[in-house]
Formats: sequence, C-alpha cells, structure tokens
Amino acid sequence: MSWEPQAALDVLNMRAEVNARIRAFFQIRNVIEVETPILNRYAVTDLHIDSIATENSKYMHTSPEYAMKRLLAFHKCDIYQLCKVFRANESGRQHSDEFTMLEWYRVAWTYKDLMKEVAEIIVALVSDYIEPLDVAYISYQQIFKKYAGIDIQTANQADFLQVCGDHSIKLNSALNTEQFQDLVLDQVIIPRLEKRRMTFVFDFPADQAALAKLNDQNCAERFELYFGGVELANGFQELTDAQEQLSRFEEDNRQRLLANKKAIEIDAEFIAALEYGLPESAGVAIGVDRLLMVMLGAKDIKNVTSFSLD
Amino acid sequence: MANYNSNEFRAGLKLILDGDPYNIVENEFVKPGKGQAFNRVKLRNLKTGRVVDRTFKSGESVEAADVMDTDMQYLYSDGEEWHFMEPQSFEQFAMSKEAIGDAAQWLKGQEDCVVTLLDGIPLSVAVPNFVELQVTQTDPGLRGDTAQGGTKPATLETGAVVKVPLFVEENEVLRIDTRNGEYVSRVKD
Repeated sequence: MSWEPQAALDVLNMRAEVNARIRAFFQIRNVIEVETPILNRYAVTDLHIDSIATENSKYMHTSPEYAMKRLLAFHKCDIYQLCKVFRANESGRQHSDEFTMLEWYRVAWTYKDLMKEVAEIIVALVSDYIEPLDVAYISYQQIFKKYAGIDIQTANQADFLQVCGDHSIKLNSALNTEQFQDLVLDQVIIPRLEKRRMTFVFDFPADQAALAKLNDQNCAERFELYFGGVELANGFQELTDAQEQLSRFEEDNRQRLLANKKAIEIDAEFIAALEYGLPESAGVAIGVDRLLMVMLGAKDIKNVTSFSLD
Repeated sequence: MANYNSNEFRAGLKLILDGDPYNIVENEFVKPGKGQAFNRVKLRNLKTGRVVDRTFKSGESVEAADVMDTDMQYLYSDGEEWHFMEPQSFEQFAMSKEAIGDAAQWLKGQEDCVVTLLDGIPLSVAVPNFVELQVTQTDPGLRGDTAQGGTKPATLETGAVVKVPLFVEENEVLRIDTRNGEYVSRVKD
C-alpha cells in the first residue's frame, strides 16, 4: 500500500497550467464552458466502449457527447467541456478507467476547419514545454498505403497477416477486417509516425463512422490526431439525421449481440434532440492526460495522474 | 476447466497455449479510442524457457494452467532424475533433466526449494537465492595479476563452474547467488 501521490509537483503544475490555457483559449473565442451530468440514464451502444454502471442503475458517462449535443440542439452555440470520463476495463500504459477529456463543438464549422483549430490549441497548450515540428493531413486510405503498404479497398486477410508478421505480431485467434485495421493502425502505423509532427488522419471507412456524417464517396467525415506516438483526439462532422443515428445505434446493438455483449437501451433523449434539430456542426474530444504524457515524455498515464487504483 | 479472461492477464499468471504451459512475463493493453482492444503479451514457455509474443483480442479467454507452487526439499539425483520431497506428506516427486535445467548445478542435497507442479508433475524449480558450496578444483591464484579482472574459474562440488577472486583456494566453501551464478563471499567456519 502506498498513500503518496504518483505524480511529481511539477506535473501537477503542468496540468494546472494546461487547464488554465484551455479556458483562456476558449474564452477569447467566445466558446462557453458547460457542465453536463456524469451520471446518466443511458449507457453508450459503441461495440468497443463499455460504460460503468452504478448501484442505482445509472451509468457514468464515457464522454459528454450526447448531453452536449442536447445543449447544442437547444441553444445552437459553441460550447466546450473539460471533465472526467469513465470506461470499464480500460487499463494500460495509455489507458485508465477514469481520464480527463476536453470536448468542444463548433456550430456551422466543417471538420476540416476544426482540425485546424485542434492544431492551434495543441500548439497553445504545449508551448514553453515542447515544440511541434509541423502539421500533416493524410487520409485513412493513404496512411495505410504509406506506412503499412496496404490498400484497404482491396486488402484481404492474407495481406493483413503478412503485415502483422512483418512487425512480429503473432495473433492468438482470427480477426475480421475491422479488427485488423484497428490493430495495424494502432500497433504498426502510429508507432512509425514522426513523433514531433501533429498527424491528422481523416475520412475513415464508413463502418467506423461512429457519429460522423458520410460523404459522397461513402467515407466517414471523421478525423483523429496522432502526436508524440499516441492517439490524442477524435472528431466528427456531426451526424444530424435522427433516423440515421437511430439505425446506427441499432446496428451497434446487433454487433454487440454477435460479440456476446448485452444490447444497450438506446438514449431516447439524445434521439429526441436530433429530431428537434442539431445544427450543422463539427465536434472533437482530446485526451488531456495523454497530452500531458506527450509534453512530459512519460510512458505511463500514471505518471500524470495524482492517484490511481492499480 | 478453469479459464482466464484477457482482462485478468498480469505478469506471473500461468496459462496453457497450444498444449504447453506458459508464464506471463509482460502484458500490455492497447486500444484505439473507438476500436477493438488487444492484449500484447510476452510469455515464457515453462518447459523450454523460450519467450514468445502473442496478441490476444481483449475478452478472449485462455485455459488456465493448473499449477501449484509447493515447498519441497531436494533429496538426491540418480543422474536421470532429480528427487524432491514434500516435507508434510513425505510424498516424493521426480523431476526430469529437461525440467530441472540449469537449476541442477546448485543442488547438493537438503536444500529447501519451491517446486511448480502442473497436474501433479514437477514443471520447474526455484532453488534458494543463495547456496554454500565447496570448491573442488581451482588453479592457484597468481597474486598481483589483476589484468583479467582478478578472477579465475573454480569448479564446485556440484559440478558448477563459477568465476571467483584469485585468493580463493581449493576446499574453501563459497556463498553463491544462484540468480546470476556469481560469487558472493567465502564462508568461514
């Protein structure tokens, strides 16, 4: 047993400074800070994200997305939130069941506008600590071609197995295409990116659209940011179509059942807000603990949090 | 048959893979924010000692190795097998040459060891961290010759050969660290 904090005082100072800079960044841009409940009636349906339930049958939020979009639908103005979020069974060097998320929404912006603002805030937050080299924008399809030699339009199981073998990844069981894509991106491509460059990957496969709009080429208008060797941000051109959103949630539940997970009751309040009318908007979330890890060169998320359970 | 879910993976956990027992050396949880989670695991084969990498989908379950660490006393070897006794029940267990491996060179008799049993069969043994053994052969040290780090080989009563300081003489008893096979000190009567 150890009662002492695991983060040094200069790390606590760095976190306080980052929080202050986040608030200053949005204040001058007239983006309003909001708070939404941590405890919620509904869990999320995402196949790969599990909510933590409380004893009184509520759920800790895994991100403030649905509640913030209800605010967005009603008030139709730019908002941000800095809060703790919770995910079951996520624990590792870059993962914690509980972590700090910065999430914001820009009304009438495109996801391409928002990528630029994400780059701006990262520069503002890390300056005096580290200096990003530059910013790169590359599509999901191109990044697979460039760093894994894989054409995701045509690649089959053998191609993915070859890439895994080339990088000493020996699988214990078979994977489907989506699982291969997740593994290769996370374990082959991201580690090979220039760590000092902010690399935005955009236009994800349609089956990874999550809450993003699809474009004419059937690509999801979704982006992620990799910096310092880690995934730092995920953003969407927000899906505004309530029917489409509902059917994606229902598809999530079908996938959950196939994966022997429980189906999740769909968030009716969120769907009702979309029916009322979500303005055209782009939104993004940044993992603040990971940003601190990158600023500090820390290998373990525990180095940037005061305490943790394991 | 007991299973472990990948959520329970941690260093030291013992599993069966492809019919062989393995010990988890290192477990790393990796996951894209919205994607499939994986456990990238380093495991040591408890029969061969070889370390392998294996990637599991999180949520996969793997057969648990039914292993038990048991305190036993080392009795003797007949050259083919090494014999241990469980001191409470007096039950005896024989370990093969392959299973005992390098540990054999530190055992002369009566040492208290920890034997890992898989389905009742000895799989591996942890010998005491320090043993005391007599030197049976070593060349006389050339005093003042420290050019080669000031050490020379010495053969111990069990057959193990260790590097010792030049002043060590035959028939002396030495304290040896079995974890790295290094000389610690002379043992005075």
